[in-house]
Amino acid sequence: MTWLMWRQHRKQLLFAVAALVVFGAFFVGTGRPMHDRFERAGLPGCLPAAREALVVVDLGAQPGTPGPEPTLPEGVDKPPEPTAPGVDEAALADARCVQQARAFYGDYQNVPFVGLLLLVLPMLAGMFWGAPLVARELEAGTHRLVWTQGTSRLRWATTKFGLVTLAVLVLTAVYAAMLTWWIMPVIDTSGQRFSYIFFDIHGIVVFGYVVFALALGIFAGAVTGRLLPAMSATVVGFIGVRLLVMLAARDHYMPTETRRTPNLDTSFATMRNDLNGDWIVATGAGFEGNSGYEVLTIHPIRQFWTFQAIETAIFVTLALGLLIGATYWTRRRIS
Amino acid sequence: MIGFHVSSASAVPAYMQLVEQVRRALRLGRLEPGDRLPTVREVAAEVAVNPNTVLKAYRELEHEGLVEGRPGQGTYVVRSLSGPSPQTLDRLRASLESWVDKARADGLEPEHIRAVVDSTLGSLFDVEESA
Amino acid sequence: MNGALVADGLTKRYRKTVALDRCSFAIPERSIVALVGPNGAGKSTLLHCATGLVRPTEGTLTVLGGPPGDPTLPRVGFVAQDAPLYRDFTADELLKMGVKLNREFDLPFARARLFDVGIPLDRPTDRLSGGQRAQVALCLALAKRPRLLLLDEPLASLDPLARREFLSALMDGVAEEHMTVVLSSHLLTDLERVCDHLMVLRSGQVQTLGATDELLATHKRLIGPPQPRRPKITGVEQIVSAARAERQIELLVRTNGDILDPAWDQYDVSLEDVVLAYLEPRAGEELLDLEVAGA
Repeated sequence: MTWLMWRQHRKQLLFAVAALVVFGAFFVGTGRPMHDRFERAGLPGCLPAAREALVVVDLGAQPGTPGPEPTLPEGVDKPPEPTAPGVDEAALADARCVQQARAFYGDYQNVPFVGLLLLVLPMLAGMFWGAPLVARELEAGTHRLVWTQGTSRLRWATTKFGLVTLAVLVLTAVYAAMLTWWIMPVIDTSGQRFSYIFFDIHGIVVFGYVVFALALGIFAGAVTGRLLPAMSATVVGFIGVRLLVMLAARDHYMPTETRRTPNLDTSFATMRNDLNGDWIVATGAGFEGNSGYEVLTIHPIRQFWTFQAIETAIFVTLALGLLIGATYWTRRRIS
Repeated sequence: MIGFHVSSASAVPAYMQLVEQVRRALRLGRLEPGDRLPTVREVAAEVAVNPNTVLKAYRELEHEGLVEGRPGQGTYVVRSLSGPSPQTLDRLRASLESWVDKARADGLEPEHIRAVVDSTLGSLFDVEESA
Repeated sequence: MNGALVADGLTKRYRKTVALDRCSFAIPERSIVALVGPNGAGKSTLLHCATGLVRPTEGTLTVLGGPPGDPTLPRVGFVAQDAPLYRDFTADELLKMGVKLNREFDLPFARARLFDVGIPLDRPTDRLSGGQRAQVALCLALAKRPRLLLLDEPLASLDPLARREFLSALMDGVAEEHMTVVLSSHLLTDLERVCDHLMVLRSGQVQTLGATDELLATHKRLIGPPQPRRPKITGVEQIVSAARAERQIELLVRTNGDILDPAWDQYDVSLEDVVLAYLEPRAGEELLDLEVAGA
């Protein structure tokens, strides 16, 4: 049975591997220079500390500092060191790091758009590898050939679904590894790890999405028995569920925390450190004496992996349900 | 070997058609005593008919004494059909005898009778060949 | 009842249609049955029930003494309508599939058969002709060494030469193995020469099932003058079909062995006549009201 599955789907597998190679070339080709630039700016060293600060000095607003920075030419990474009298060294280092990070991120603003395209990938997996699995068999009538040999339909379904899911997961692992390596500098300098694009395309959630889309495609194919309706159902179902989870459920995985930014020292201008990566759900403000403070309702960055795990679990559970449903439907199916 | 065929359009049952074809082959000398008929399977496949139909035909031929089934070996032709049947031969011999009697009564010697027979044979068969 | 394929009240209902309607029959072992009926009569549904592709709504179907589906499929060979195959597989790869999916699969036998009918083993099946594809499908089924072979309209999309070649190959496979064969078709003419039994299906119901010899012997055409209502006809067990013309009525009847009433002219019938009669009893109510005697 394993041979049969391999033989039937080897073209799809080879296509997937080829696509991975193309992706790999793209990621390595564009990622190498990006990582070099990231390292030359000293960011890997200074970012972990800089991210901890809740506020940073706004270097652009210090008296005596030069005006707004012009766009940096290629290869020139360190702007002239601005001075800020009265600020301690550590805070200054953080401030410079933040400025470097902003400059870096500014040069790679296209990356989130690429991310938009990558959001679609799991759905494509469902459409082109999931939906045809049962639907193509039924449309071509070959189910009347393969289900009347000496092997049970249950075994056929579990082997087929299981092997394809396994292969897709392996491919996804390679893809996810490449992607995460490629995109981390941008995410680190964006401070938006929780954002709707970045959250969805890196980390472990992509496994959940892919396996869900695959299962959705398989289920739709088994129930409708026709390829095009199955593919359409996969698109609609995938987008619908993803949006629902993303917009309505994600916020509630863990309770929010409240954070009050420290009273600001009015001797020099400070600003909130956006590089935290916290998910800011709501903001409020207040005054104490003559200094202002902010009260933020946030999901702190340390909740990030828990969120990823919960969302992945949701989609994996949905996928399991759909796969069981597809197996059951295939077994009971009338010719 | 002879080739078999069965016509669906014919009113004659399929097995009889096969029997007829064997008989014709025997008459024309294409099959001779000692020849082995093709197996039931070979005929069924060649003609695309039910093997039982072929079996029935062979059984009929066996019943007529034309063939004989030898277990483990096949079905063999045992009798020839070429030439006239014994009854025809008897009838012809009888009328020949009465003619010879008449010729004798008219005073012909055996050599004369033979000469008349030869020349008649010659002219009759010649006429047929050139006709 | 005993037989290779036995049905008792077999019924299959879909949402709006009844595909099989309380069918009861017993197909004898080692017979070659022509399953004949118009499109939509239920022939495919019947064969699909026997292979476990379709679950009956009511009634039972016994296949080689067991239930249809996984338990009996190893001894049942099946070629579905239009001989579906994996189009990008070569014939050899399809045979390999057969080996992998079946406990018993005679690979050398299958390869030899394909060689005999001149089918290249290394060509993808979508580059074979329709007739060749049908041969490959038949070969796959025969390689299981089945005791029951079911063929759903195997000749339908084949040209006359391919039809002949298919039947040849089928008879070759059958002669060796002593199996029961059921071939369905909506045309009788192709099947007459190979089948020794006939089953007529109409609107999901079995109209008749019998050996072809017996059917030909027991069915006659009767022609007689127009009758007043309900005359009795001795020797007739069932009036299958009836037609009224201006000066005569014509009946196709099944006899019961007694001497037929000599008032009627009687004629022999062909198998085609029998099938048509069971498919289309074109009679008005009053003609079917004719009673029969001596039943």
